[in-house]
Amino acid sequence: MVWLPAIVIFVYLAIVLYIGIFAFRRGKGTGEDFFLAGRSIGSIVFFLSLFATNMTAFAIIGSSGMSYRTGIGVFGMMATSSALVIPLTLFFIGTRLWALGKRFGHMTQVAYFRDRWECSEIGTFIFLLTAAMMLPYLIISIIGGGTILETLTEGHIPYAVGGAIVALVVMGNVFFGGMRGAVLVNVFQTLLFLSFGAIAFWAIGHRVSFPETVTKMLANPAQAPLLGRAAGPNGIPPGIPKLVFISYMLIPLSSIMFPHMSIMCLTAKKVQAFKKTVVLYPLCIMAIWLPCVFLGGLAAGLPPVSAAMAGESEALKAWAENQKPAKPPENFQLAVRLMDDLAKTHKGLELCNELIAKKEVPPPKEFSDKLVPIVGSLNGANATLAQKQLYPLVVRDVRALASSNSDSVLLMLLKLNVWPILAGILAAGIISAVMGSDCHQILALSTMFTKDIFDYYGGRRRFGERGTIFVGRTFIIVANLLAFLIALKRPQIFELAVQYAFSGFAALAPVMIAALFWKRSTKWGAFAAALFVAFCIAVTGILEIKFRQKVIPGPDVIILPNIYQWALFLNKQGQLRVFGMMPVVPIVAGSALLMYVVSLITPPPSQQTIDRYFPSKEAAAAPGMPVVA
Amino acid sequence: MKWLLLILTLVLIVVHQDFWNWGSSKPLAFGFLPIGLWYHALFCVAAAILLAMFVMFLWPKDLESVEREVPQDDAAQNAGH
Repeated sequence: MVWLPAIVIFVYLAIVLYIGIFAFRRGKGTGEDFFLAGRSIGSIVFFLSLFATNMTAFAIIGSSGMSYRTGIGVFGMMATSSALVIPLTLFFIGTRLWALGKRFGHMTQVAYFRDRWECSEIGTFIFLLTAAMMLPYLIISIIGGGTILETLTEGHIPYAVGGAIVALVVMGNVFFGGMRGAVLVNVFQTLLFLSFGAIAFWAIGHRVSFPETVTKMLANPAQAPLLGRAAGPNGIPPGIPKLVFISYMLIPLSSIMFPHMSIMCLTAKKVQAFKKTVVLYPLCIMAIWLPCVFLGGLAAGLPPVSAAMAGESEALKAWAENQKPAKPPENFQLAVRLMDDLAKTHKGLELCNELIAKKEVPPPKEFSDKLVPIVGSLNGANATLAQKQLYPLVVRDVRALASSNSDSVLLMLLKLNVWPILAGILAAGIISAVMGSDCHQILALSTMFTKDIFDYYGGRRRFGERGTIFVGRTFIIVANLLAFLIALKRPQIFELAVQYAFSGFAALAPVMIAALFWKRSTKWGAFAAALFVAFCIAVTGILEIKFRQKVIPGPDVIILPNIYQWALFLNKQGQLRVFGMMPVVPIVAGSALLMYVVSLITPPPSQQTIDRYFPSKEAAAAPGMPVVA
Repeated sequence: MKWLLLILTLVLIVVHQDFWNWGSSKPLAFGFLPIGLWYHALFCVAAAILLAMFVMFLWPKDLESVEREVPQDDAAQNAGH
């Protein structure tokens, strides 16, 4: 039965690979066809593909995990802010980018910036900055794919093999099919993961009574805050601070600045394709996020799920293997504390000894079936006073260990509550979210490298169109191989890097807005803003790593105690806050201010260039010369 | 209409920060869905309606007639896989 979900996933992966080969046969062999599907994508396919491009595994795995840890407020903070801001950026920026791409043949943002500001270096600098912020995504995707396959097959497919399979399928699809392959596979993927939420909701709802579980959670002071946004007793759950909630509105500005999103905007056959996209986008965000966030929060009220998640946590696995390891993993002290407390009861001691003897934690359902009755008995009718005092401590530690493994919450809910074949279909939905954006990210990096570096610095003149496509395909192989080799060690640093990348791309939005809508904007303004963004992202990363606490959650860490204690601090989760807000707020404000001030004091581009990008009304009235900004 | 859409957008941004629901979970929709979820689900519907209004009243029609000004490279047309 363990292999049944894996078989479903392999069928799915084979379909993805076949679509890539099918797209290869339909290819025309030009650079524009390989990298942009010949700018020929129709409106429905464009919408489904653009949506898949922007939805990462976070929409399913991360959202439910975060909801388990901090509560259902994550839906309003992350999903519905995106539901408003992203379609607005597509409406105002995406349509203009499409028009400029069609008029002047641009294939990337970098090509546009170079032409708009008559400067080669600004393009090269933005290429380096965006490529540096994109690379972690490739690594994270492979880590995500490998982890899912390993978890679903209970370790029968090792992490490294799972990661290699996902990397190879993505590489095969993009290598053969280019943008057309990625777009066609996206249609399939979007339909699959759009239906994921509804299927999961229905399947789990058949086994778990939602009203009953919610009512129980509301009656429990430790769990009730998870169904709102306020912090719980003693800061557990931590809740969502109001200033963080507000400042998150700026994060979705990053979407249009991601190279894979802006390049995707160029693939539409007609600008009318954006109409359906902007209207349907908020509804589809809701369709994916709402069930995932609800189920993630609900899982906190289901002891068997928390117990299974705790059993699967790295800390408890490490404890079972060796109670005194030379290098204990993060949260190891939680596992020690939990097992020490459990050992104070007869049944608990039996479980501890069993884990020590076997040197491993049993599969999730088996472990959950053993742990839940033991913990439940501590609060039962026959429990002694000492046991009743022990109960909240054990529950706290089980929850803390489960929270350290919160990304597995949906998979665990499925494993414990639905048939294996359905878990396989749903896991294929999760994998499709991972791969949908991964295909576009790797293709975008390849497009940028090939067009903005290789072609721009003379490669195409020397080697022709075939040479361009060859370089694009070679880049796909090399980048994927490199990402896989790095992912083998599961470095956590890239998970952090991805968080910084959101702020970085959001803070580049003022550069794009100035380029599109402000004639007077200059390359120096863009340079100043981009340099400021790079500096701030680096400083944010350094501060978070330097002041990161070994025990999380711990107390807030004040970074500038002598200036103003709440100006710059790391919160209990180790995240940097500036006057209580996310760093994205000052970075976006600084970037916009520098773009404005430096542009005013430096010479603008030539009148000829300004006229090309901002034609007069008379010129715009002539065929083929629209007003684009 | 431009100003009305701007005002409606600002209104949506304000109602998104629903501080009045911060610590509460009730009323529950369908007996199980906390207000923090169904309120924001309705927000998504409102956002879709607003964007439909943008498309109806503020659509950049001038972009529909864009034509290519840079000729496609001859090499690009002749190349193959």
